[in-house]
Amino acid sequence: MSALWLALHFPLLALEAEHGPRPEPRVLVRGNRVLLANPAARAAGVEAGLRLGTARALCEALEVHEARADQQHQALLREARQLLALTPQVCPAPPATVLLEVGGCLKLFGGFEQLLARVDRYRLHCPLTSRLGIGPTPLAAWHLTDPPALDAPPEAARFQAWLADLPLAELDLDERLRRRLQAPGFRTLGELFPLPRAALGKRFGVDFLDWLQRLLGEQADPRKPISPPRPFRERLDFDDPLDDLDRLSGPMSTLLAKLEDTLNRHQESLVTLRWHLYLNNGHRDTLIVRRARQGHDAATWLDLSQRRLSHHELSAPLLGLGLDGGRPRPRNPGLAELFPDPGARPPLAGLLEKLAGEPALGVYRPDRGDGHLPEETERGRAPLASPPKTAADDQDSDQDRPLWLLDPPRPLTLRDRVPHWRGRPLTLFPQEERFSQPWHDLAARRYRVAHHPDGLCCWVFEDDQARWWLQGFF
Amino acid sequence: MPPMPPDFLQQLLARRDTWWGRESTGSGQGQSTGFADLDRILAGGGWPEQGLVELLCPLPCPAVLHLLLPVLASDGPGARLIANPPMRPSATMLARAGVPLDDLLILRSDDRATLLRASFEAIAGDTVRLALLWAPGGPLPAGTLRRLHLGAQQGRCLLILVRPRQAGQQPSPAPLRLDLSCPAPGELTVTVHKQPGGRAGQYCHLPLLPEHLRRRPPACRELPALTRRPTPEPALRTPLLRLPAPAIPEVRP
Repeated sequence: MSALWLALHFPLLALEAEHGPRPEPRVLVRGNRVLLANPAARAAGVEAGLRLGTARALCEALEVHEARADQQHQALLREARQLLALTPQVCPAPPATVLLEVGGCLKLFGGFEQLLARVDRYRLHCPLTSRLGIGPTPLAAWHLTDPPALDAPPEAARFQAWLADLPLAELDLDERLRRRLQAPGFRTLGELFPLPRAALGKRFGVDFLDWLQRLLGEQADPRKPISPPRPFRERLDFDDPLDDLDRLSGPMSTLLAKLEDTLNRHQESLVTLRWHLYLNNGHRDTLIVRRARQGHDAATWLDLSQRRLSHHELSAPLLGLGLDGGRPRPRNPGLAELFPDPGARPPLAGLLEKLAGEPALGVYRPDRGDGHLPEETERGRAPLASPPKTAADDQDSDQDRPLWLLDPPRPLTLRDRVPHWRGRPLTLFPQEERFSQPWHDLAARRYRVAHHPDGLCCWVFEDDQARWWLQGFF
Repeated sequence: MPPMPPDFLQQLLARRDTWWGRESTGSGQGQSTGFADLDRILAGGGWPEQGLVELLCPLPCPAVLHLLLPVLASDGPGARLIANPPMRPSATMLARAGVPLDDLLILRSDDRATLLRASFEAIAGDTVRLALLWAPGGPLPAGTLRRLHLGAQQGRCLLILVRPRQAGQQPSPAPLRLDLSCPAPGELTVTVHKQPGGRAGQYCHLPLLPEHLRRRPPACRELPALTRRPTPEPALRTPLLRLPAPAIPEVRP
């Protein structure tokens, strides 16, 4: 079994990534220059490298798209995943090519001809314009596009002959290197073959020699194949519609046991999973169960799922139950303690995940914020949120600040120009501290410490309209 | 009087709610409260390691959190929980007191059943070392309190329940009950209402705030203000126009 590579080029990928091929003239631009034009635009005379204004003058109904590298890469990955149906060795070669090693699966598909028929069928249904290349090495497949009709894999000598005919101007090399190669008068790649390799390397660089050897198969050219995603998706259908959510625990544990089995097999774990409840009225309810850290044990997932389910109301009887495992992550087991501390307690994460599922409960972890006004310096962190990268620093650590804050501040009544709280007067300290407001038209808040006859030490402030507010207690 | 069965006394002594005298509880078993005067009047030499403690005080009593800051900040495995606080405890001040914010959790709920259930789950789960619970409105039956006490013992958690002072007239299964009052701002008087292996009625005065906040302010005498402005964005730290820096008087009361 010899290696046989196919290359699928998507020359207009950047243009077609979003909507597929269109009959209307379209161009891709970066800055003010045309990068790529589709056949309709080329027919009107628009070419790559033209200014956008010139292109518009040539073709009035021109659709213009901005180049977006991420979209192009996503589209390429999408096609690569489609091609996993042909071979496990699918290697995307950005910007717009996918390389497939098919030498190992010729027998599976019933021979070379059958395999090419499958590739043709794929290209027919593929929403992108594509060109096929074939060769004994990835680089050869990249260059030998549009092969003649073949009924068997061509032998090595034939590939060598095709490669020898390749014009130097069309090689996938740096523009300056191509010019240096053509400078002595060489026209095709075959003219370089008889030359001594050492001299070639000396004259055109080691990189070129390496490239040539990989092209001819004299040196290995390892490529990294994409790994197929394996989301866990299972569905159980019930013979009789279920009314009672309590009876779901059986099917749930069945699905979770399967999930745990799959996760254990691949040494993976999950942070989030989704339950789909398929209802009799055609709707689908989705419940999301999250954990504080990734886990794979079915028992904890079942407990959390049942807690989540206990707050759910069914609007119609249940026909089926689906489990979506989402994105599994590789397990990264921490170092286990050899001699665990006998007084050790379980981590807080377990309690957090249980409490986070209660809708009627407000759970937060206090944290310092970056704000300026006293009520802005406090921030509650959601129970499952990860801690911030940088902790806010304590800006005025020498100042007295209250231990309790009222958010929002509570208004105080004013009698004889003395603020009162709970009907009793406050004794204000003479020292005033001003907090300027973020907006220039708001006057600064004037804070003071005050004593209350009930034995309280309060923090109060006066705003620009001479109203008094209670901000907190010391 | 009918003769007592011989093993009746053993059965009575084996009950979990039977109190033993001073010898069996021992002294010095508890964790220090951080206040030497309070440690002295508590029979265990401090807070008990686990179980229910009731604090009876007029609500809101901001001083309660001051009283518990040393034990919240003491290092040891386990999380700390503050449930149903009457206001928002300031993270800045908690951090200044040395409370590890990563191990602190705050629970709030308007639904009292949810709150009690979640609190029970937290204290009985062995994760939480210290829980501070402000009693939700409405009566707390002895059964609920007993369940909380047993849950706290099971989860090795010190549960401190803050209740209004009127609740002191009702019996409670809490082994330790303290009466708190604020005679002056920043000061707290702690009176022992009930404690195992010790006498009730002992009291102590604790200063909780620094001297300059406790001192009664002098008659109205105006001092120049301290002004706090937002810190400028990093890009604006170098002003376009160099002006002489305004002199801000640093005056402490």
